[in-house]
Amino acid sequence: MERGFDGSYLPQQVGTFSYSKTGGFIVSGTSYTSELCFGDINCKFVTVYGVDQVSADNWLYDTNGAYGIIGAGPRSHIWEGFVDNETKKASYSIELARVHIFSSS
Amino acid sequence: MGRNSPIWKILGSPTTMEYDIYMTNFNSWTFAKPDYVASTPRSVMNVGTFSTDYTSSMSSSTFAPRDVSTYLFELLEFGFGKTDETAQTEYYEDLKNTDDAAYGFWANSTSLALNFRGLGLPSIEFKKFMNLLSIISKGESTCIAAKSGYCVLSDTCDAYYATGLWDYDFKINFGHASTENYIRVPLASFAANSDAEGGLCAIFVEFLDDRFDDSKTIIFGGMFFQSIYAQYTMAGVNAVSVTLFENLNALPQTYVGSKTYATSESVFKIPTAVLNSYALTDRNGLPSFAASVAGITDYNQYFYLDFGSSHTYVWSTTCETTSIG
Repeated sequence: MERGFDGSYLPQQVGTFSYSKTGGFIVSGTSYTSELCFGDINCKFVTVYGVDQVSADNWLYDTNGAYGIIGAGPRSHIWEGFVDNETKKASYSIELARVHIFSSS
Repeated sequence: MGRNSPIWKILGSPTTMEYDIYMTNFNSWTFAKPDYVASTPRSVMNVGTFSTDYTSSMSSSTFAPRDVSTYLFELLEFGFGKTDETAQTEYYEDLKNTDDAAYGFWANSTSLALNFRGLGLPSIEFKKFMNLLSIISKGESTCIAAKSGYCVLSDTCDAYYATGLWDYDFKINFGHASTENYIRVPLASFAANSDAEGGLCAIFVEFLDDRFDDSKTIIFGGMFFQSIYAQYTMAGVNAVSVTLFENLNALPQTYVGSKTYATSESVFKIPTAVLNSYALTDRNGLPSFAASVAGITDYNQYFYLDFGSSHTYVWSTTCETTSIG
């Protein structure tokens, strides 16, 4: 069974949030400073929003919510280390394979 | 220790006032050089004389304050980058506080201060350093651009030896100098595993709030002197000079001299990364990616990505749903 975020090891509580809108959710909870390791790329201390209460689930209703959602917006830590110091730009591309939704072939 | 300090009366009011700063490193630099051994066991200041460990035949940089009655020094060059002795090349990004509009009288100035910890950079230069450090640490650095802010890496200092992080240094060339020599001080000079940061590696390049005049200069604090031995001479109002030598305790890449190198291509190359979606948990075109968040004890954690938000949300073990939209 997936246990989710329990605040154990390292995280330090830094605040609370209420009715925050993100990715179709409306959520409330407690924010922490925690370490996030993304793939094999890097580890970094970031503010993580631990959701204690979901008030709305408009996009992923009846769908697994994974362990959470990593923010990859323009101000996300994800881009630190990828910003060219001359152009001030970071760039990325998305290439998804086709997923066969209705058949296994 | 200024020329009007009572300490000189205690010493008989000499015509020429001399003192030096001879520091050892307070934390072992084995993280940057595994077989590092310090030459001297403790830090000392000699007042009224200089250490005999350093002689005039050694390479040094001697310079004077840029203005009478100030202890501000002129910076001709100040950059962060790397010198490759093998390839005989160098590359440095300028970090000099040149912005006249922001810094006015204090533009292009620096001070040497034992009562400051690391390397103080005014806000414009601090933010540029943040970006450069983030690139060479592949995003593992976190810097706070606020008063008392500095940078922290996400592991202990020795973990970055293999990445080449400790090959980077600061290149400094002082104005009003009687020599052509410049100085290179390793980034490691300002690094230490910090108790305040849970034992993680802190880079004490520190934010200076340039709304205040005393924070518009670049400040070389105590950690600078772990790499550089300094001799101060004050013979009168117009005869103040500082001579800097490579500290006998310094790491090998520390340098005082005048060697010139060809400029290489940038040593701040943006890394590229390929994030593969997590095949085990992909659900009908809803890709998830492997990551881990401290505070979740499960293995094989997976997350969705949201390009519309910069915040990261995780579901708590006690998460409840009050209504479904």
